[in-house]
Amino acid sequence: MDCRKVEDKIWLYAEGDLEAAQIRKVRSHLDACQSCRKLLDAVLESQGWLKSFKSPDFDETVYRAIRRETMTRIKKDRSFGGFLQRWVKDNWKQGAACTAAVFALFLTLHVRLFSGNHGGSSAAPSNKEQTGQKLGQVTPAPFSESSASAQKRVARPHFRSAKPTRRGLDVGRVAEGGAALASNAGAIERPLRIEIQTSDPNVRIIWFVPGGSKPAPPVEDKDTM
Amino acid sequence: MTENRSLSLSYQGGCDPLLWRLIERAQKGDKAAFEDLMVRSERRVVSIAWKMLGNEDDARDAAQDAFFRLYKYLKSYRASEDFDGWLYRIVINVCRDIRRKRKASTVSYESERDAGALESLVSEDDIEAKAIESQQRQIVAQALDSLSKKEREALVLRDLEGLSTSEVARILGSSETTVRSQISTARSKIKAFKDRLLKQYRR
Repeated sequence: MDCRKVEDKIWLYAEGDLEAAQIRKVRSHLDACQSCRKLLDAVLESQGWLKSFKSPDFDETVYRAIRRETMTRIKKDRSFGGFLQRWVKDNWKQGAACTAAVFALFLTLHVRLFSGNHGGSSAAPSNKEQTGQKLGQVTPAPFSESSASAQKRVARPHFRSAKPTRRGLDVGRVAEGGAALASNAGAIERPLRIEIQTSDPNVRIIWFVPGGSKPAPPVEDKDTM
Repeated sequence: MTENRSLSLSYQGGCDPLLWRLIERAQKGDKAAFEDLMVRSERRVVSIAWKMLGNEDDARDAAQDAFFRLYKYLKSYRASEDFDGWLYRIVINVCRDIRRKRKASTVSYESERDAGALESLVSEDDIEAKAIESQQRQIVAQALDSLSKKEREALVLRDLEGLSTSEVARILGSSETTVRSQISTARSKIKAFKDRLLKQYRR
């Protein structure tokens, strides 16, 4: 073993922290090397200085105070307040999840109750209803619970303007929310029936445009769809 | 070379039977048994805490926190474990938390005087001896402060508490090789610190 390796190992050798085989190697080097022996003496002196570091002698009152304060803390922890604190600390995730669930439930109920108080408006007939509807047939306005967006259109039923076609007027139906429209577009001689469902589910506006007469001026719905 | 001091009588096999009986009673809620446990360990706990943190106030807080944690986790202790090693682990963790929260200050001769620690001393020689002791303590505390957290813990447990490297490794949750490396580095740093200080003093 050379001096460099011994210098690395001397810190552990001085306190007996090396394995037996390594201790033998270091010892045999030290027997032959004076500078490494001087280093060992310096290390032992430093270790002696370090071990002279003793904590001060604390008075018995210090230890009694520590015991007393610890027992007070334990007593507080065992009380209901302490139990509650511990429960919250240990179960905060479940608590947060419950709070979020309760809040979501409250929000949903609030929205439903609120929309229910203002009356429902009919939902837009679905595409299937639109395509399946026959000409000339009066379809009752579908009534369902309104969504929050439909509530905006409750006071203003809207419908698309009539587009001139080869056969005559074809009154379009509302694509979404608000009023439902039924038309019995067909032969221009027949009267045109226009039906509008208002926000009040019991009130529906129906008017007829006689066939052959000029159609009513189109009322454009300026709402953005 | 120093002898290794074992932690407790039944270190190899876990907990001492008499101690285990005391722990069992404390686990069942016997306050007197828990107080006896504290009395048995308080000096060692305060001593380690002081060496880790360097001042009396922090050491007292650390001891309190350590005993409170001991009370909280005592039910999870099993007789097959070494109780003192388990308690050491608690103290080390508490000291780590305290060091993280506040910067550890070292005890100074002036602060001891202010605390009235020297009031009971009778003679001038007495005072001088205490002052020198206090100053030495301060220097070693500063030397320990210059180490990294892991080096300090390993060195305090090995050289100041006299535990073996295997016991230190178990308490710190490291391998023996790691602990030896940390101790070796720490010892060389302590010597370098002391040599630098002496050089400054001699100028």
